[in-house]
Amino acid sequence: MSARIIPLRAADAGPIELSDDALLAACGEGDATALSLLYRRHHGSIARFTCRLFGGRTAEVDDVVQQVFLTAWKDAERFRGQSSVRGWLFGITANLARRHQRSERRRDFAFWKLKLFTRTTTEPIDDDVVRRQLIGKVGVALEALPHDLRVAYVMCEIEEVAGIEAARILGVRPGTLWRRLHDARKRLRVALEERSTP
Amino acid sequence: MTCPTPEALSRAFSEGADLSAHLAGCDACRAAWSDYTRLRDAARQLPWSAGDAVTGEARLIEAALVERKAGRRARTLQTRAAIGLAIAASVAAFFLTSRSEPATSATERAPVATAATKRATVRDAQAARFAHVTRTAPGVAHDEVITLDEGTIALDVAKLEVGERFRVVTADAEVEVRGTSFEVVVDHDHLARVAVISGRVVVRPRGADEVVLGPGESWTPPVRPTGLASSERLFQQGWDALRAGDLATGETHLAALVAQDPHDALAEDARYWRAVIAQRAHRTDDARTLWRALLATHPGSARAPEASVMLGWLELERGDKETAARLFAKGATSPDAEIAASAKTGLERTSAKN
Repeated sequence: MSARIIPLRAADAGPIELSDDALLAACGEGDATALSLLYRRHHGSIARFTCRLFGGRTAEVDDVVQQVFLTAWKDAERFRGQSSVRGWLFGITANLARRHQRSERRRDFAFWKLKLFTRTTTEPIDDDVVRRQLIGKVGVALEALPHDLRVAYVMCEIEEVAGIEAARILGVRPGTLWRRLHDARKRLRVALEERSTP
Repeated sequence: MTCPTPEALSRAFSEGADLSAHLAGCDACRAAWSDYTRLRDAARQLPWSAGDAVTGEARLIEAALVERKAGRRARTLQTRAAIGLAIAASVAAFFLTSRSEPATSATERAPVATAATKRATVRDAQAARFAHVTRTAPGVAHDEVITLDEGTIALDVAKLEVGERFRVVTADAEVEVRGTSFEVVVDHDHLARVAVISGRVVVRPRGADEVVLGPGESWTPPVRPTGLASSERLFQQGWDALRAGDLATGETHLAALVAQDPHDALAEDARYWRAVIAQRAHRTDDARTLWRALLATHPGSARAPEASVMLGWLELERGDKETAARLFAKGATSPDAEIAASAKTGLERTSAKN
């Protein structure tokens, strides 16, 4: 007897997308395929969020991204649907980033690769130079912010998470979140003004 | 005119409120609003990189499976199979149908589900958990991968065109075919059996030599020692030492791994980190040798562009601009913005007259 193939739809039809919540529920049941899909769907935004929190791409970013998804895998059953899955992953990232940045030695180790790439020549001056300088200044000022302010700013301003949801993710009152955002903006403005002063 | 408090203005900006009427007549608020906009726009342009997603995913799944094996999760097989099938069905865009006939033999077993990819038909004979991905890579016209998490699948693969690949990947091995019918069994995350009905397949178990199977031949793994494989243990020891700042011990473990299992999947990482250590310690000659070894042994590695750039700088330092330029050109293909930028800078330096 040979197998009988009964195609129900075209082989190249697009996949039926499971929701993030469904994938996370499957992770809670130990399904590695679901974790793989969750990673593919969100690793980009988690890597970007982590890069912003760390002030650039470092080897430590990879570590944190891995740990975020491993934590999601282990703690999937704790997800209560009070925020989006993406927001929940941001919350895990913020907690892990705080822990990572406490250890200067690990930070030094993580910056190995970055330090190896410091031999750069003078960049050509072009019309874009002012814009690039501003971006560089914002990056430095952002990195100098206290962790809580940086998380609030990156989450809401860059990743565009709504304030109410961000407050829920971070476990703070909305008023606290708004205050952190305001403090972050105030400090960033001051930092830019100081750097612009000859 | 009453201005909002600074905090209220900040919140209004976050919520996208329309304050245009007020801003038109208030210089202070307009300046603050303008700064908020400039800051936000600049912050969103800060450079970032997603890194090597494929390697990251593979490592994540490996770590997750280790986690699962450690017994930290409780689940029922029934639920697992049901969810696994749902995932496989939806994500792989496979089409499933059921039959109730009893199984007879490995090759004649009536399938409970079938699926088709561009180049293959998958007979999901025992509620296997699998997914299908199509990848693109330089020099590969079409690369199909079936990731098999658990169970048995039988496949009929059409003859592949030049440049096309078809593989079945498990947690600990890879099976590559060139147009054939065969069966793959995974038991508790380990490749347990490959049986070829027609054609040829290549089995590549991690940490062991590849095996080519012909029609009627089958492969089963050797008896596995308990605990971590020696190479994994060495890598972990090396990595732990590096994290603790003990570079000498770390390098010793990594060197031992490469010497012991030069073809092990972890040997690539070990070679990479040895080169990084040597370069960081300013052992230029060692670093040059180690980067060369990495590129020669793993030319298709995801780390190859980075290694090319690192070696390019070393060659440039000793005045070999021609070699450096060739290496930077390779590094410029990196998807990592930082590495590509360094390669570009290197190319500019090699083309400079002095």
